[in-house]
Amino acid sequence: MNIPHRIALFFSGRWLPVCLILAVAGFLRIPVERDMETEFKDQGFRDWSPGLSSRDQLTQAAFVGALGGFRSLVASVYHLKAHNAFVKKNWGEVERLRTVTASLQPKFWSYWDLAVWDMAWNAFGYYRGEAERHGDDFEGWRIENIVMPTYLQKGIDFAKRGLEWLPDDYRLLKVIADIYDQKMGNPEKSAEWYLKASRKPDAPSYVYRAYAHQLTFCQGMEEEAYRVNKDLYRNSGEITLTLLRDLERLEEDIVRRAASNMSYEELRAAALAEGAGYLEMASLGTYLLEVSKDLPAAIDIYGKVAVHPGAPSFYRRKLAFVMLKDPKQTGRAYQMLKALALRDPASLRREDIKEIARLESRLGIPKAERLKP
Amino acid sequence: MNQEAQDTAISRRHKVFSALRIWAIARNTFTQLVRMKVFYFMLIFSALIIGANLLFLSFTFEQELKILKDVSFGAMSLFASIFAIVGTALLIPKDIEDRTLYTILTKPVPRIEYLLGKLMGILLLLAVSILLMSLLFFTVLYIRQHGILTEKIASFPRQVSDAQIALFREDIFSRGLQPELLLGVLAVFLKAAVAAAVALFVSTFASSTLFTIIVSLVVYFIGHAQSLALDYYFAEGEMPSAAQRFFAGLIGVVFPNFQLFNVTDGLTAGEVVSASLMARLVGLTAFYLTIYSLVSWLIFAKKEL
Repeated sequence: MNIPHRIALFFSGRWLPVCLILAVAGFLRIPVERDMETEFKDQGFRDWSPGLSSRDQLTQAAFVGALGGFRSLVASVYHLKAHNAFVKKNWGEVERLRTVTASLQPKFWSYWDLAVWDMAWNAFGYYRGEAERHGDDFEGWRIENIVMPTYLQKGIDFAKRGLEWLPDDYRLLKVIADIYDQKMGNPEKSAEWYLKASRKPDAPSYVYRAYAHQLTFCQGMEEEAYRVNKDLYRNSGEITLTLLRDLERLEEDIVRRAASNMSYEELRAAALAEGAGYLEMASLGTYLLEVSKDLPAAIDIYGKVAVHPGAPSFYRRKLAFVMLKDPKQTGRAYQMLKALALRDPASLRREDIKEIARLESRLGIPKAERLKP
Repeated sequence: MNQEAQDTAISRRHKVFSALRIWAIARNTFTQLVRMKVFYFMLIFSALIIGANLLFLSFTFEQELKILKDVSFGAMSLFASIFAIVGTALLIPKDIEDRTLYTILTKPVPRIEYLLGKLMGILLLLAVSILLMSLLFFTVLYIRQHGILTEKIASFPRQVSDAQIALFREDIFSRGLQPELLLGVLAVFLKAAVAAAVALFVSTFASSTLFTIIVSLVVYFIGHAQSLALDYYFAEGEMPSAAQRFFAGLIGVVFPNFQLFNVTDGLTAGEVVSASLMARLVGLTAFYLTIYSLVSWLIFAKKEL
């Protein structure tokens, strides 16, 4: 039977309607499927494109698996492989496998987070140990100055790549800020990224507090730091120990600057003016205590600061410690510190508790009446 | 009543198309498949997900629950697709081998009913298998998420308040057993149903069971890349050649789009699929089943048995 005859038979038989039906159905469903595909993409369901680069990174079986509807499973398998490479401290392999895992499911933030963690914490920590082991030789220098910063940068790069997929995820912004804070000691950059993270919809309040904390270390940004921390103290309703310490440090700086830059008359006029703020009073108190060495006057003015309605609680501590400088006021100072320890323990520091214990011994306070540590 | 009158009465009672007859064939097909001891796969499935539950305890709960979901959905999808293709490929040859096919078709049963009954039988088996796998999967996930919560509370250094427990619960459970997972199960079933319909079509003209399985598997894999071919066809910017576009378009028209049914990848990563999209997916599956049943019938109707 020749070929044209075969073709003629094919089209005259049952296959012609079959081909026609399949073709018509194909043309009918393609626009619907394209619409659905677009909708799936919009809903975040099509975030992996099996291009040539992913083919290079995946094994053949994994590529077929990812293409055949098992992408999430393949990602999990690569995640386990990356974990094994981490256990073996094979950081190059960890980086490669984390890249594959994250690219297979880039909308799953945990894969980016793990990649950042492996680079900027685990690999960095491992090489810090290596640098210490090598000591001062060239290899130690090389690791510390070239390898370790490279891994920090790799961590930041992973987080930034993740942000391209998850632009509203505060956690990836925060992890960059954490690297600048904990690993690079760069408060300016850290504050910048914490602020970005805090502006995201799901960001918890502590991210903004971390921004406020980092600001206090930024040179030349003291005013902004004070404004942010003061605002948190007044309006956040969540006064943490860090916030109190930062505010105390910042106000101490303001007060000292005022005490050294202004004359006694200017400070007195400002402190005694109608509606004077507690900072003006504290500036005068610092001047009296440190410049004119007038302890009773300093105690008097700090007493006014401590009862000022806007003054934070650490001024009561300050007053107690100023009073301690006057031997006649030791008993009152102790009572004040004890009351603080019972009512507002956050305003005291660890060394204050030791100081109270020493005072109790000196004043002969019976053991039953002493503060429990 | 004479013989002629009886024949007329019987032929009047006999309907051209009967859902009851289809249902009878479907039940028979289901029983036939169950007797092939296909449910032994549940042992493997159980071992897989319990293993996935026990082996990866050193990860964070988020990763642990994701791996459990990935392994379960992956195994479910794999088993369902294998059942759909292999189970369907076996049906017609087995009926021919057992002579059951002749017994059925010598009775006044239209061939379309026979095919629909077979398809419905395999769909019933798929539904029961996926239901069993889902039950096991959800039970393990439920137990694990409660286990994680208990471990988290126990590992906390201080006394945990009720508010904190509620926060932990919300955090853990939101990544565990959620109603959206049911949509993933539905998508697995729909994909397997289309694969079964394709296999049924292939088996109507196949010369052997092996041929049906291989061709159906090829269609299954190409079907996952069908949307890529269409992306090529509708490419923006640098246009491919006319021949390349024709070939890409041909793949798009001929092969079903299996990638469209991949909902579980997104669900395990925390994405949410809309109900309207799932409804359209159900509609599309119905369309595929109708078309493949129709073309299967066209081939099978004139097949010499």
